[in-house]
Amino acid sequence: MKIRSPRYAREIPQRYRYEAAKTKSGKIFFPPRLVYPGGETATKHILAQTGKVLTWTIQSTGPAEYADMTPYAMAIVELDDGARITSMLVDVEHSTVKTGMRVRIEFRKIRSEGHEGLLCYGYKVVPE
Amino acid sequence: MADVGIVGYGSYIPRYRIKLESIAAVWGADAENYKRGLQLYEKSVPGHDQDTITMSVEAARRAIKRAGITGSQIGAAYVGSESHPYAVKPTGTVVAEALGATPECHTADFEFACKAGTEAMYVCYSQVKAGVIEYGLGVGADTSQGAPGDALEYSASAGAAAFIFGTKNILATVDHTYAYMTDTPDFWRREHQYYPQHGGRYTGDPAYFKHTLGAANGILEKSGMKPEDFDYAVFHQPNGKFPMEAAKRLGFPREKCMTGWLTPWLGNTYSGASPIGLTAILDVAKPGDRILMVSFGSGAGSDAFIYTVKEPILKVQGIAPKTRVQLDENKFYLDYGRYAKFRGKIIRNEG
Repeated sequence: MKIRSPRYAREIPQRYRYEAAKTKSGKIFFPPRLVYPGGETATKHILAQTGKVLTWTIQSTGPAEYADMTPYAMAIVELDDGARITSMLVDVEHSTVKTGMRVRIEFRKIRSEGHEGLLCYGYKVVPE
Repeated sequence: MADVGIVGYGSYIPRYRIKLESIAAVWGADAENYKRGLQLYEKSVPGHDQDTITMSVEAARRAIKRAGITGSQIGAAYVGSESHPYAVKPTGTVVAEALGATPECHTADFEFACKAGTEAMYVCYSQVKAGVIEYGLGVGADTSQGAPGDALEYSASAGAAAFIFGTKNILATVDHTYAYMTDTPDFWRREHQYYPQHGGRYTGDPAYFKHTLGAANGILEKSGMKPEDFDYAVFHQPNGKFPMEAAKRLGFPREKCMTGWLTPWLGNTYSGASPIGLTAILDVAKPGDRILMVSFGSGAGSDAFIYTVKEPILKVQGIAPKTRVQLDENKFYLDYGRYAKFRGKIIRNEG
């Protein structure tokens, strides 16, 4: 099992606390960048935690570490502050998933690195 | 000395449920017999992406919202559970990090069978009272396991409750605390064992009732109060029957216990049991109401608290999901197969 702790730790501000950046002109970047288009500066912005499904799909063949969750729903969600995230959509009957449905972010386990490795946490969306 | 009390509270109950009949059918057991004996009808089940850490974070976020503070104001974050996801690596650091409470935060994980949640609350309250911290977070959460076919499998469920203690804008003051504990071998799980062992009927009178009644009588004596002085009482609820029997023996009428009596539809949330019951009471309580809370953890001991509800509660009850709503609405029922898969009872090849 390859240990991926450093990468997991680097992403904690985004995966746990939804830390994004907002430029002066109002554009939201998630995750934040080192340099912004047009040389703009940006300040810390916490993503809105509710939004609506823009588009979605049911993933029937997932990676091995998601075997227990397959088939699962993935969605591109437009949050209420205008930012868009890609997220697993859980706690829902797949037959009821539709474009435009209201969702909110919940803190979930994203994956387990086998029986011995890290437990990786982050955001998923659930029906509001 | 300034009053110390609960300034924010929140609960989290997963949406999945399994009915007692679905479990009994697999083991050839008599569901009606279990329902009558345990006064239990269904229980909550965590999704395969939920554990003590995720539920603690959700409950704590609701508590922070009701407290009207930011995560960085929390000076201590304690999580009590018997199902911490890691054997070595704290639950509290993940929870504190997700809340934005790190790095200036004291964190510890508590364990004491079903009593770990009120322990976390007890220590938070004491830290605030001592003036060491301004705000402290105490969480009780569990995703407990019962061995397949064992009586525990019918009750072991999942849920979390979080409380923020402080001195400003108090929702309910902590008026008295009392702890009662002895070395009692009623229930245990050794290192590397997957499921706990218990002493069957020995878990009743010598364990649950001795300590629950011991702590309740102790705090009543210490405070000089009687059952008539309370509007609500909530006891640890390993099944539907024990808390009502404890109430009866103490002289509390059944109706004062109904609001916090969730186990018949929730199951035993272990470290979350009496704390989630308390959140259901706080959801509907009025200023001036007095609440008795007594937890119980095998091994064995009980923590008792007396709270008085204050005016600010009316403004915050509706701003986060209420416990009864989570319990009664948006339920997904699982069959035993999906339940076993969700709970990791089915061993698969890796990769």
